[in-house]
Amino acid sequence: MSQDTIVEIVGLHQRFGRRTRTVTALAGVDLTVRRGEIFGLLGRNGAGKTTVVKALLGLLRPTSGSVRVFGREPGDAGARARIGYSPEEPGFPRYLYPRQILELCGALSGMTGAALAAAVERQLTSSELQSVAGRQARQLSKGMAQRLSLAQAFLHEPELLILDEPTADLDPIGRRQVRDLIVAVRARGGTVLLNSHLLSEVERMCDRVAIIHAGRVVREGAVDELLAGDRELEDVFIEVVEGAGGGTGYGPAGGWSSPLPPPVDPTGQPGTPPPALGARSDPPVPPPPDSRTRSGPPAPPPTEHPPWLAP
Amino acid sequence: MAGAVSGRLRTVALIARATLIEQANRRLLWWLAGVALALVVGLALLGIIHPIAELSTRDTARLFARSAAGFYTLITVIVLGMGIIGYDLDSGAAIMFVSRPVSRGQYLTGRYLGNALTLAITLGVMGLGTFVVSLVGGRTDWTLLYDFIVLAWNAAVVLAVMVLLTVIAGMIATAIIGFITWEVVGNTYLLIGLIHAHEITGWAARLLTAFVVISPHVLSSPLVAGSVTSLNGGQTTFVMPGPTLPDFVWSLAWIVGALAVATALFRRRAL
Repeated sequence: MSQDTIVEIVGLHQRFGRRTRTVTALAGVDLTVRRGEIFGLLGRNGAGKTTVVKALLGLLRPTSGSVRVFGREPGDAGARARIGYSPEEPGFPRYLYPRQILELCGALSGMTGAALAAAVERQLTSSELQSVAGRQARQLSKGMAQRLSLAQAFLHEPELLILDEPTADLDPIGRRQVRDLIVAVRARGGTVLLNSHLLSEVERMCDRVAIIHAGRVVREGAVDELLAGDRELEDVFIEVVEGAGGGTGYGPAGGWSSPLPPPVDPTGQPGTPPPALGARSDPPVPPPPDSRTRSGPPAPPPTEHPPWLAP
Repeated sequence: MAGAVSGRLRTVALIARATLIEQANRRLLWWLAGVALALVVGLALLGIIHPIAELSTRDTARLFARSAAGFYTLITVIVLGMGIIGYDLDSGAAIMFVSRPVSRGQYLTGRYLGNALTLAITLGVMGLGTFVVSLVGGRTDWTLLYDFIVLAWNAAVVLAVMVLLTVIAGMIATAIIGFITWEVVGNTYLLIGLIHAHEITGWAARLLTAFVVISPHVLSSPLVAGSVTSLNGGQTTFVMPGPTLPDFVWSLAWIVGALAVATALFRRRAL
């Protein structure tokens, strides 16, 4: 592992459950994050992004494979002292106030005295948490809880920031502020691992991205390379995911697994289940060659948008 | 080496302190202290005013206060123990702790000590209340210090067992099993009295004695079991000897053991 490599994941497998009821969340992930870059982790819901993040933090024990953070095991206290983490669904001790939570987090990360007090004050101000200083964590709105989560992650100025959907519950101004903060981290030499569904944000900030699908990295590379030819990240993402089989990989045929029985046609026979979301196996049904051959008024020309989005 | 140990202890102390602050913010600490005082003062005064049957006023008040303390400690242990980390697991706060340089053992121990401290403070308030009542009643010989020490120590053991339970079971199951544990632990020593009163011998006596020996109750240690012969003496009235240092060491081993097993199981758990 070179000096510039912050995170190195090799052949990471993660299975949950026992015996016959197992779910494979990761099926051999290989990933490298280098110092000073903003690395985007992309994927559909259930693709395995959060599992990768949790493996990095030592929150779960990998079934097999190797995970190294700063050259150490992920559960190592020395490695975790250099990490700031903001989870997708932040949770705090319910009856503590934001200031008390930040003081606790800073102290647990080894900060003391005036440095801790100054850092807490700075984060309370920059995260605009002063207005809710009198509310306990359980009384915070989702947006404010998200701000508090980011504040505790940034508090001790970690070398590696792991942000799981950091702007999901923020207003547009808050999103802009977080983007600026993330870019500022890179400017001071820090590294950011960003897990986000907002591809426009990823496109704007990240240096490199990896697309995870069904527990595997199906594409990894520099954002500039992926977007060659004026393409948008969203197009690349959809193309890559659909090319890899579409669904989350958890259900049958790689699609959503539904607890409902398959649809029944009017004859009472079980019908064909709906195609997997994003599956490529079914070609699109072509429009009738000549709409005038049908009874009734002529069909409208095909539109790019669905009717409810049409201008 | 010394620095690393002090660093670990500091982490545990920080989490314990935060737990205590949380209980104070929650006002649970004050509610418990208030209930403790109300129970002791109210029941003790009631005991003084209305002595029961053949018992003297002093004994009645003492009996009331001791029952109130036992009831109160049971309620407090269940309330504190069922959510000792259950709330953190539900809300995701556990992740906030263990994603920092905090081991799972430190987290559990810190949470345990914070709640044990909450219990100790409120029991202390209760003990002080009974002391004031005894002074007001002019009974300088009327003390529940011994009872409070035994109660607090048993509560500490049950709280540690509940940490273990909360790692492997839900909050409701933890509360129910915690209640059963309290009842078993709190009454195990009576088995020795049972053995003597009914002159139980043979395998049944050995089985009951073995159960008493492994029980975490502060009055149920190998020392107590060893005193069976001397206590037997053909008497049907059983007098329990007071707790000694080995009794406390035995119970402490239970606390440490329960927390160690809880940590081992918690390490295997995905968060």
